[in-house]
Amino acid sequence: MKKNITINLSGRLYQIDEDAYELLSHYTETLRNYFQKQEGGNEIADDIEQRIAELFDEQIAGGSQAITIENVQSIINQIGNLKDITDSGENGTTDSGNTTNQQQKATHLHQMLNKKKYYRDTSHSVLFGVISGAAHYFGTGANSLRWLFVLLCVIWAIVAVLFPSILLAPLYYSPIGLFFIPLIFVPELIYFILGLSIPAALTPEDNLKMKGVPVTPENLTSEVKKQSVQYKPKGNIGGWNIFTGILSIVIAICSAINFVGCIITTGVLFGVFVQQLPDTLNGMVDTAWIAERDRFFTYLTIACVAMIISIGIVLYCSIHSSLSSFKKAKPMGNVQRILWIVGWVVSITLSIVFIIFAVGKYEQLDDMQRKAIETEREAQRQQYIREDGFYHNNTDWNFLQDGRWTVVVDEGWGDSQRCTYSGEYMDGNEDKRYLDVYCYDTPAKVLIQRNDSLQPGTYRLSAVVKANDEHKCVFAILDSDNKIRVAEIPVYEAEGGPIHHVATVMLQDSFDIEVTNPDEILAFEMLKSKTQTTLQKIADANWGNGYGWSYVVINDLVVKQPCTITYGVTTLEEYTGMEPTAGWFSATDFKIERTDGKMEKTMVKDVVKNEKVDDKVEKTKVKDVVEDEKVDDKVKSTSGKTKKKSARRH
Amino acid sequence: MNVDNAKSQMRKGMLDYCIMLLLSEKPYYTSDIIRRLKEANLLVVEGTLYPLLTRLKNDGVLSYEWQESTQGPPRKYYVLTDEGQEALKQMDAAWNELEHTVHNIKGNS
Repeated sequence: MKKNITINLSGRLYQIDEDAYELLSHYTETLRNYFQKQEGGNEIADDIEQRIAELFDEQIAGGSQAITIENVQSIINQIGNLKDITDSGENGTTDSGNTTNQQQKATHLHQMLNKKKYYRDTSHSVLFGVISGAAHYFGTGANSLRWLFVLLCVIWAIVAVLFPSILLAPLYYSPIGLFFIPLIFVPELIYFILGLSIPAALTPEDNLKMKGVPVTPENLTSEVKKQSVQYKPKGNIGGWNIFTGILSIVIAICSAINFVGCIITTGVLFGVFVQQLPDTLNGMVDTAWIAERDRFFTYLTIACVAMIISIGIVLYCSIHSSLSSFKKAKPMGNVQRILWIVGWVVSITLSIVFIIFAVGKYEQLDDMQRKAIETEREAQRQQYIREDGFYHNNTDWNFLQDGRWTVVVDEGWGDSQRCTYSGEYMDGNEDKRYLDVYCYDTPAKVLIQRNDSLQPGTYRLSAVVKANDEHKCVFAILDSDNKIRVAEIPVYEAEGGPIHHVATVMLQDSFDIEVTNPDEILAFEMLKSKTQTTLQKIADANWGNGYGWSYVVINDLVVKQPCTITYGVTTLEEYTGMEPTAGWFSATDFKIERTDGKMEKTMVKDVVKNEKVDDKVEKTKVKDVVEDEKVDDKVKSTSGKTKKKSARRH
Repeated sequence: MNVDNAKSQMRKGMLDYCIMLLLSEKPYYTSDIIRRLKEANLLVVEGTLYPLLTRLKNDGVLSYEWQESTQGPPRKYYVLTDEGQEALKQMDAAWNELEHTVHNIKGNS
């Protein structure tokens, strides 16, 4: 039993079977399209339709109520197959110029009739029939094509993960990496889109075109008969059944991830976008910076826009395809489809490319910022490179200038970048500044010195020092013999020390100084001339703990002719004969005194102290301005012996 | 040699002439033209006639008028124009020449 419809042919109504109608309408449509290109073509088509109507009348007069497909078949044969009508070249006798034209039209019609068209084969499909259709189009087996597609998906996924992660390594593991996830599922997404957008083979004519069989009335008839007889056993395609469920889920997930990934990435991009970058580079307006920063935002904008466009394309095509499959909208032609796909590819590519640019630009901006800060710091430092070629802050430089100290060698100090300090002087005076070299963990090479002129005589150089590691020395060189004399700074670190200990002891009513510790013996010698007040201060320094100071002396500096003495502190191996160590040392109160009984004007240059000397007075040290002290005229230094000191107090 | 092609070529040349001859007798409906040609043993694809008739009409050789019919839709009623008559005379002359030539060659072989 067949469905029957009524048609209007040349103003008359006929009952015709549906499949006969399909065949007939295809015939008349093709003819009309063909003749339309000629002058008066519509008329010719009308004439033919009228002829068909006449023939229908004959059929009906013969007794049948409805036109069947066999009727249409024989009528087509009578009036002429499409091939015959176009082949005959009926206009060949008029203009010779028209011949080729007509032949072209004929060949065109031929091609129209015989061309293979890509339809989705939904009657042999696993999911959407995309691959079955492709198999028809390319003339290969559907199953082999399916395996190929699966292989493509796997390989693509691997490549899409490996390549970007290697090429763009740090980038890949940042939030930008989110963007690359959609890339992994591109083949699945394309399948999905194709499934929605490519039309399925619905009519017998579609089927013929899909298989590339010429659309002649005979073929059509047989195809139509096939269709009406055929039932579609859904999901009966050998072993691929199982795949249907899995594949549809996979594809749905992949497409969703792709889509969501794109949206998330766009969101991230916008987030970065919204974060303003200032006009100024490290506080200064800089045109180059502004230019680069604007470029950065341009790239970001383009990337965002391209991403949005690609998402829009996917949305639009999906919606349109769904609509057209529900016959709410006309399916789009192949040209349009290709344009949309190309558009999508272009926008995704643009997006990726510009994201990469943007990231590169961002890193460049970061670099510029860092460099600007560096440069400023350098410039600041440059201000403080002094005439000695070294960096000294103002405090240090003033101290060095005032004390006539010259820094000769200054290597490896690292970040401390200072050569003086104040706050830990032995008597607790926090404002007294002294030489102090601090190098945390690298053996620093240091040489700080000053010069004095000496008249003939015998001298002793003394200094108050401390250190936390060995091999740091006070040195003295007379230019008469250029011999380097050194005295190593005792290591007592930052607390205690001989000076403090001895001062504490000396404050007792009666005391003993240890024989065995030469540092303490020396300290006792040097402290003998100090006032009680001073001793008390020393003892109380650092909450009674002391600061680790000791004395060093270089004796027997014999000067025959007036000469220059160079002295100071050093860690250089050429001077000390020992390997420099890390750590710190401090030195102050450098004094050069005559030890041969004659008191010349001594060159004491401690900033704090003043001194009056008498030509024939032995060493007298007036320490405290307030207190007087009586000393025995002929007290001589008696080192090496224990001595009881009688306290004389007022 | 493609005989069918040559034969088809020969028929093509004759078709214009035959139609004009027919119409010189009296006016005809298209379906009648087809019938008469078949009676005369001229194998012609029906569909090729319509473009041909239209072209001849456009050339001014034929013209038609619509005629109502009780049995069916209105039909075209073709007739040879004066211009057509003139053309026909020339076609006659041409045909006689052809006939003569062929006859001559055949006779001498």
